[in-house]
Amino acid sequence: MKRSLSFVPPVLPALSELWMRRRMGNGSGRFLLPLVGFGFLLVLWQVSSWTWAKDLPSPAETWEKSRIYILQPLAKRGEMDQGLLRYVLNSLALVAQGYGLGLLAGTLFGLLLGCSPVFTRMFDPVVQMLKPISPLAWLPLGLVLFQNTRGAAVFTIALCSMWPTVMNTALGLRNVPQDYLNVGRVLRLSRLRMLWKILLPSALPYMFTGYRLSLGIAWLAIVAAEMLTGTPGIGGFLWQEYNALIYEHILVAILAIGLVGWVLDRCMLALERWITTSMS
Amino acid sequence: MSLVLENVEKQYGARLILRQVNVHVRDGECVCLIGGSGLGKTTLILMAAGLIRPDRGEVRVCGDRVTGPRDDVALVFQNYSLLPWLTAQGNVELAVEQRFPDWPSSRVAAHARRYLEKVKLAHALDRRPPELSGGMRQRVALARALALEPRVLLLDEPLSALDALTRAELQAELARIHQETRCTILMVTNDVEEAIILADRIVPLHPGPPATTGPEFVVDLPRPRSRQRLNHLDAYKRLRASVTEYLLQAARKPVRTARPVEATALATAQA
Repeated sequence: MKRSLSFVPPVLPALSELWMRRRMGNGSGRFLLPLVGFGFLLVLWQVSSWTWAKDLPSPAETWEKSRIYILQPLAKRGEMDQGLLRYVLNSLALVAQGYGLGLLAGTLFGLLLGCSPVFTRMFDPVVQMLKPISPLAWLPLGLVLFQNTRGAAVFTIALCSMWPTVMNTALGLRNVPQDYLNVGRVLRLSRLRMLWKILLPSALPYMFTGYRLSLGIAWLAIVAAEMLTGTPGIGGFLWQEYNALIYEHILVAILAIGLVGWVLDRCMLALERWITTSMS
Repeated sequence: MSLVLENVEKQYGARLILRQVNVHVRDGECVCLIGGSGLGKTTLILMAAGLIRPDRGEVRVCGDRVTGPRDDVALVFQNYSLLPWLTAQGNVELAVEQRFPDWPSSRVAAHARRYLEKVKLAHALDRRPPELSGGMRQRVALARALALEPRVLLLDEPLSALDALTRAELQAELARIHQETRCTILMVTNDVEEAIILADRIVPLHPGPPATTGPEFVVDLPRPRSRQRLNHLDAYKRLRASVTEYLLQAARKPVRTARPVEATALATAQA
């Protein structure tokens, strides 16, 4: 008992020092620890392909078979044979349309929900019901409604991605401090000026949190939409290569999807932080 | 009379919190309403501002019955209530634009700047509230109210969140501004010295519930009233003692005693 106690303390300072260095960002921990994480993933992948998942290509095989897509990222050898970055850009263009539409609709809808208790009573149950519906469920409906894959994809992305924006915009408006509302009342601001000068600036940090979450969902939805419709984007590529039984390409597509989603989230997070600090 | 609260009563639910409140403020006068916390002082000042409607009685400004916020009444909130996403200048400009909608933006900006200079914030026009100290924030709030060029200025414990030094400094500032602008002021406070430095008359709020206004004290001391000067005046000491004693006694005996206080007897001040 005594021995184990005397053994423990030196471990804690060492760990906390590592933690501190990482937090301060001036040590090797800032880059080293994430690399350890990725290294772990790589090892798991390699071991899996050796042992229980015989059909899973190893990291080296994956690189060998798909490097043309990575090393010539913008090449276009055919409609369904393009560089990885080109696929990603196609997908991003589609996401931008659906996400833009979702933001617009979501913000307006959120404004109505946040401003009017009657409206909230009326539509909150509808929102709660539509929110959990997966993109895979919306897409066939989109195809029926628009008769083309692009319209269906935009429709699906917009519908799936708008909910965090709706909820956060409404939340932001409901949480405007009473003090700010009093200022508006004392100054006798008109309803429109009240919205523009007080409600919106006050709710903006909430809204940007919603926009970030929505972007994450939009990126989730694009892959599903492309897989089902065979659009020449990163999701369409993934599905095509599955049908062609080229598993290496599937893995590369998966990694690309994750990487792009991560970058998108970081960008939105930076924007969100900037808005939050400049607003308060 | 610039501002009159006549037999004003207010209840929240079944609980009557203010009963028979009577305050009269003449043109250019500064009246301080004094009382402990939780008596309904803020409710009272919000009623004067037209943000809350009294259940009985009425509030009049320049003879008109108050039914809502008015252009010629400005209110300084206890917690500043500045908009954090606007600069000091922007906060004041928002009010000026609203008060004088016909003005071009250059005139609005100049007007706002003039009032910020008046409260000695010329150096901090472009700073946002989070970058300002408590005292500076309250100065911005004061500039915002003054820039409306109100007939009546309502102050809801404007200095209660500040440290003693800043507080004294701003009291002097308020006294100077009152002398300069001669606008009518009703100020709520819980500080006897503050009331004496600023007020022409002090109206105590007698604790309840329901709270009600007590007999007033006339402050007939020479101006400008700096702390250093007041501390040597016997009249000041006597007045401070009797206001304090009244408030302490009232706190012990919540039921109203109709005992008149010889306030005017204290008014023999010598410089």
